[in-house]
Amino acid sequence: MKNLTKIVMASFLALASFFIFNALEFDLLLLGFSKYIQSAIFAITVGILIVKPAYSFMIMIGSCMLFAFTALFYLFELIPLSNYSGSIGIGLLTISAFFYLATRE
Amino acid sequence: MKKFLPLLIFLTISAGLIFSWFRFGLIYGGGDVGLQTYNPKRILENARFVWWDSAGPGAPIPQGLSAVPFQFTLFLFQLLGFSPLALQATLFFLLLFLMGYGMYLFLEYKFEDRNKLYPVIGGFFYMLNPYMMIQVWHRFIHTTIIFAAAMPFLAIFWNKWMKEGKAKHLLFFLLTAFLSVYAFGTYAFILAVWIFLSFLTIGQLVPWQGRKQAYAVGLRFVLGFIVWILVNAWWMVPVSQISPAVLSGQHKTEESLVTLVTISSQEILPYSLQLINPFYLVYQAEFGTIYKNILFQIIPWIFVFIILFGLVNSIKHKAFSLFGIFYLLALFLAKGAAPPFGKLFILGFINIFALGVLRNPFEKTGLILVFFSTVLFTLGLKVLSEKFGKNNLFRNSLIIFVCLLILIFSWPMILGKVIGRLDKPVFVEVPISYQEADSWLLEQKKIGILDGKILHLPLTQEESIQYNWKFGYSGLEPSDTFFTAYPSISRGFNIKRIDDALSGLGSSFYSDYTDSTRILGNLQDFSVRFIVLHKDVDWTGGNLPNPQDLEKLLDRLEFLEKNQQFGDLIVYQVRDQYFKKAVTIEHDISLIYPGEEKLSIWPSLIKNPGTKLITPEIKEFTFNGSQTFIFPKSFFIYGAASDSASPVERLKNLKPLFIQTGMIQSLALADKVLALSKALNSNIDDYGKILKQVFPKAVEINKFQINGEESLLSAIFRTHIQTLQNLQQNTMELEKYLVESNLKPKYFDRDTDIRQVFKFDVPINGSFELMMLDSYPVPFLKFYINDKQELLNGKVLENTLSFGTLDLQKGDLEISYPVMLSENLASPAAVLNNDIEIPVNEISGSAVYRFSGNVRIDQGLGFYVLFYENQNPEPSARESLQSNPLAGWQKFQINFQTKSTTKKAKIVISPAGSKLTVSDIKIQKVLNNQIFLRSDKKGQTLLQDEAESVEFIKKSAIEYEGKIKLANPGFLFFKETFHPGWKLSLISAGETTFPKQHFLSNLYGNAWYIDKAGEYEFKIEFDPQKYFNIGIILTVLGGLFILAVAMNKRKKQI
Repeated sequence: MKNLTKIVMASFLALASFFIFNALEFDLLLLGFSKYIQSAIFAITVGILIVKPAYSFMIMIGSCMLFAFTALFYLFELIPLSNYSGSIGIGLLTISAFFYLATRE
Repeated sequence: MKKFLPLLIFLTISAGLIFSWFRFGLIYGGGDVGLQTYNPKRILENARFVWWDSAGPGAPIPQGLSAVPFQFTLFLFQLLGFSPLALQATLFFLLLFLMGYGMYLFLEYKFEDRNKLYPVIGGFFYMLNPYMMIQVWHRFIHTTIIFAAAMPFLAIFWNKWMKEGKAKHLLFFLLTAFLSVYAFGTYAFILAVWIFLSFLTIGQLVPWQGRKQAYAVGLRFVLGFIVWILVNAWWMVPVSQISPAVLSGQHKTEESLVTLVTISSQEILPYSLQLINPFYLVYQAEFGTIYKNILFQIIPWIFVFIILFGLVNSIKHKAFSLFGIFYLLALFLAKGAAPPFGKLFILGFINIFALGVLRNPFEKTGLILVFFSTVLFTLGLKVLSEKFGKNNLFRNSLIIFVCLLILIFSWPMILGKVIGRLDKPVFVEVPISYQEADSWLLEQKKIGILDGKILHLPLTQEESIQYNWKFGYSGLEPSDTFFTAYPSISRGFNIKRIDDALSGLGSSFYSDYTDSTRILGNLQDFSVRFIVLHKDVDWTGGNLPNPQDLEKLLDRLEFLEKNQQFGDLIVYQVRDQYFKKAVTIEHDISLIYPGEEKLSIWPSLIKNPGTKLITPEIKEFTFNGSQTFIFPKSFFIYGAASDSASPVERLKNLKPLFIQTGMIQSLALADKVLALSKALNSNIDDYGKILKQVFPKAVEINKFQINGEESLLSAIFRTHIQTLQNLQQNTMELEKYLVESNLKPKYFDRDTDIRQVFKFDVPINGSFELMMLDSYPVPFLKFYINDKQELLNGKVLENTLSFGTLDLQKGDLEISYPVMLSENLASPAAVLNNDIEIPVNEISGSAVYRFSGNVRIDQGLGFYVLFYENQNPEPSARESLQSNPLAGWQKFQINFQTKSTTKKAKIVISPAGSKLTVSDIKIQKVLNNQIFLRSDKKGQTLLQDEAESVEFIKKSAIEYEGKIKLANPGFLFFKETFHPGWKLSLISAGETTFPKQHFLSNLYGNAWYIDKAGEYEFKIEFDPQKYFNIGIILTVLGGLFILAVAMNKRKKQI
C-alpha cells in the first residue's frame, strides 16, 4: 500500500514536471514535436527516481552512454540528432546527479 | 628542485609558445581590441578620466578606468624601453604562464596529492584546450585573456578564505582582483566571476559540517562581496552612475535576444561539450579545413569522455562531489538558449535588462565551464590511469597519448597561427609615417598651437576601419592612439547623436550639396585645426569616399594649408584666421529641433554657414534665433503596394525567419497579431451571418414574450449593442495606437496612394516655410497638411525646394505627400559570362532605388540580383529570387538603398545555372525626399562687439579655465560632445554663478546662454568625475579595513 502511494505521488510529480520541463523548452533549431518526447523522458526519469532513488547512479552512467551517440552523430554530421541525444543526455545526467547527491547518505 | 619543477615546466612552455608566436618580429592587433599594447602611455593618459577626449569630439568612457592598473604596468615597461613588440610578447608570456601555473596551483591545492603529475597536466590542459585556442586567443579580446589568467588565482584565494576565514586570504583575493581588474571592462565578467565564486562558496558546504560552518561560510561570502565592492568602488561608482545611459543607448532587448539565439544555435550541446565555437573552427574554418577531418574531430570527444568520466567519479568523491554539478550548471550557462531548458535564459533576458550583458553566453561564461572541465578532466585522467593499476607502461602511455592529443589539437597555438586566420595572422606593422606625422604635430604643439582637433579623412562612421598597410589592418580605428598631440576625430561611437554629427562632418566633404563655405563652417564647429588624409585606407569595401577625390578637394580649399606629406599621410592645417577654438562666444544663433530619427539631411548643408545651431528645451526657452529649423520627429511610408499574398499570410510566412534568427519578441508579437486577426475575422463573420438568419424569424415568431416583462430578445440584443459599442471604443483605441506607433497617418488614412508621412512637433506658433531637400520632377505636389489637402508649387532654391509658407500652431503636425517614381534610369544592359549587367544612370547617395521587370524562367529555379556600388568588387546587396519554371512570365520588384558615398552603381542579374528571359527592366529612384520646416522671417540676432574675447587653457580632459569679455548677452559654445555632466561656472566680482540653460549645440556639443554682459572668469568641468573621487574614498576605506583585519594578530580569523 505504501509503495502504491509512493507510485501515485511520483506519477503526479512526474506529470507536473513534464509540464514544467516542456514549458522550459525553447524551440531552438526547430525541435518541434520531439521536445515533448524529451520532456516526457525527463519526467519519467523524475518519477522513477522518486520511487527508486538508488537508480540515480545507473541513470548517470546510462546518460553518459547517450553521449557516445552524441559524438557518433556529430562525427557523421547528423547535427540535429547529435544535438537531440546530447540534450537528453545532459538533462538526464543533471537530474540523476542532483538525485544522487540529494539522496546520498 | 623537484618543488620548482612545475614552475619551470610552465615557464618553459610559455616561453616556447611566445618565441613561436613572435618569431616574425611583428605585433598582433585589430578586431575589437585595436592596438592596446602599442602605446600604453596614451591610453593611460585617457583612462585617468571618465571623459576621453582623445577620440574626438569626446565621450564618457568610465569603464576605461578599469584599464588603469593594466596600462600603468605596461607603461612602466614602456619607460624601461620596451618596444610595442616586447611589451606584447612579455604580456602574453605572463598571461600564458599564469593560466597554466595558476591552474596547476589550484589543482595541487585541491588534490592534496604528492603526485604533481596530474595537476601539471591539468594546468597544461587549461592552457591549451579548444576553448582557450578559439575563444580566448583567437578572439583576441584582452579582457577575456586576463580573466582566464586570473581565474585560478581568484579560485585559490577565495576557496582558502571560505575554508579558513583568514583575512590574509581575502586580501590576496582582492589583490588578484585588483591586478586583473582590466577584465571587468567587459561588464559580463563581473557577473561571471560572482557566479563562479558562488559555486565555490556552495562547494564549501559539502560535505555538510553543521549549521555553524554554514553560517560562517555565508558570512564570509557576504563580507567578501562587500569588501570587493568597496575596494572596486573607484571604478564601479563612476561606471554605475554613467554607463547605464550609454548602454541602453547601444543595446536593445530584442537585439540582445537575436544575438543570444544566434550564438546559442552555435552552442548546442555537441559543440559546447567539446568547448568549441563552430563559427570559427568549422563554418569559417579559420584554422584550416583540417578541423573538418574526422580524425581531428574525434580528439575533443576524447577530452569530453575523460571529463564525463571525471564527472561520474567526482560525484562519488567527497572533495569533488559538487564539481560535477558545477560543471553541469556552467554548461547550462554557456550553452545559452540551446536545449535543454533554454527558455530559462530567454525569460531572464526578456525580464531583466542587465542580463543583456550575457547575450553571448559562451564567450562571457564559457571560462567557468573551462575551469570546471579542467578539474574534471584532471580527475578523470587520474582515475582512469589509476585503473591501470601499477602497470606503469600503460599508465604512462595513456598520459603521453592524452598530452599529445592536447598538443595536436592546439597546433595553431604551438605554431603561432592562433591570432587571426591560419593563412593571414593579424600582424600589424604600423607605417613609420604615423610616427613621423605625430612627431611633426607634437612640434606644432611645442611651438604654441595648443588648441584644436585633428580630423582624419576619410572619416568612418563606424568604430572600425581597414588600412592597406604591409600586413593590412582591420579593426578598431587606431588614430587616437597614434596621434598624441591633439584629440583625433577619426571614428563613430555607436551612439546615435554623436554618430549623426560625425556623419554630417564627414559627408560635408563629398555630399552633392556641399561647398567650401559649408566645409569651413563644419570644421569651425568641431574646432578642427589639422586634417590628416589617410591615402592608405581601404575604402572600396566600406562606406568611405575615395581618398584621391578628397585630396583634390582639400588641395582646392583656400582656408587649408597643405603642410606635410608623410608616406600615405597628408597633413593639412586650417589657416590661423579661419580656425575657431574649442570655446567660443556666438551671437548668430539658429534654433534646430532635430526629431528622434537619424538625420538624413545634415543641417549644416542647408543653413547659413555663419549661423550656429542650438537645440533648446522647448518649455523653458523664449529666444527666437535668426532662423528656426524643425525636422520631422518621425517619418514612415504608408500604403506601400503589397504583393499578391495578404499581409496576414506574409506575417505567417515570416514566423520561421523570426524563430531562426532569434527574434523572439517579434515572434510573440506576430502570434498575438495573428490571433487577434483570427478572433476578429471569425467572430465578426459569424455574427454577420447568423444575424441575417435570426432576425426575420425572430420578429415573426417571437415566442419569448412574457406578459408584463421585457422581451428576452430585447434584453439579449441590448447587451449585443453594448458589446458592439464597446467594439467601437476598441476601434478608437486601435486607431490611437496605430497613429502613435507610426503605422497609420492621423489624417487621410483611406487614400490609395503610397505616401511618405512626416510627423512634426512644432515648438511655437508661427509661419514656417515647407522645404524639401533635392529637386522633384513635378512642379506641383499634392500635400496633406493635417486635415487639409493642398496642391503646392515648389520654388527651386540653392539645393532645396520651397513649397511656400504655412501658418502653424504649436503642437503636433502631420504632413504627407504621395511618393512618386523617377523615370527609368537603367542604361543599356551588357551580357558578361551569362550575367546581365545594367549600369544605373544618375545615381545618388542615401537614396532608394526600385529595380523591377518581368522574368520567365525556362530552366532552373531562380536567379540572383546583385547590387554593386562605386568600385567595390563585392556586391553591397544580394537578393535571391525564386520562381516556378511553369509559371510563365512573372513580375519582380526589389528595392535597394544606396550608401551615402555612392557615385556609381550597377545591377547584375546572375542566372546561377538557370535559363531565363527578362523584359521591361526598370530602375527608378523612389522619390521620397525628406521635408523640413524653416521659419521664413528674420528672427532675433544678438549684437556682436569687436571688443569681445575668450581666453582659456585646457587643464585636463575634464577641466577648462579662462576669461571671457562680453559686450552683449551671448552664447558660450564648448565643442566637446554634449553631456549633462558638463558644468559651466562664471565668476564675476567674486560672485559665482552657474548658467542653468545648457543646450545641445551644433547637434553634438554644449552651449550655455549668458544673459548679462561683463567680464567673467569661467570654468567648465565634467562633473561626473566626482564619482571617481567618491569611489576612491570608498576604496581606501575598504582597503584599510581589510588591511587592518589582516594585520590584527589577535583576530586573524573571521
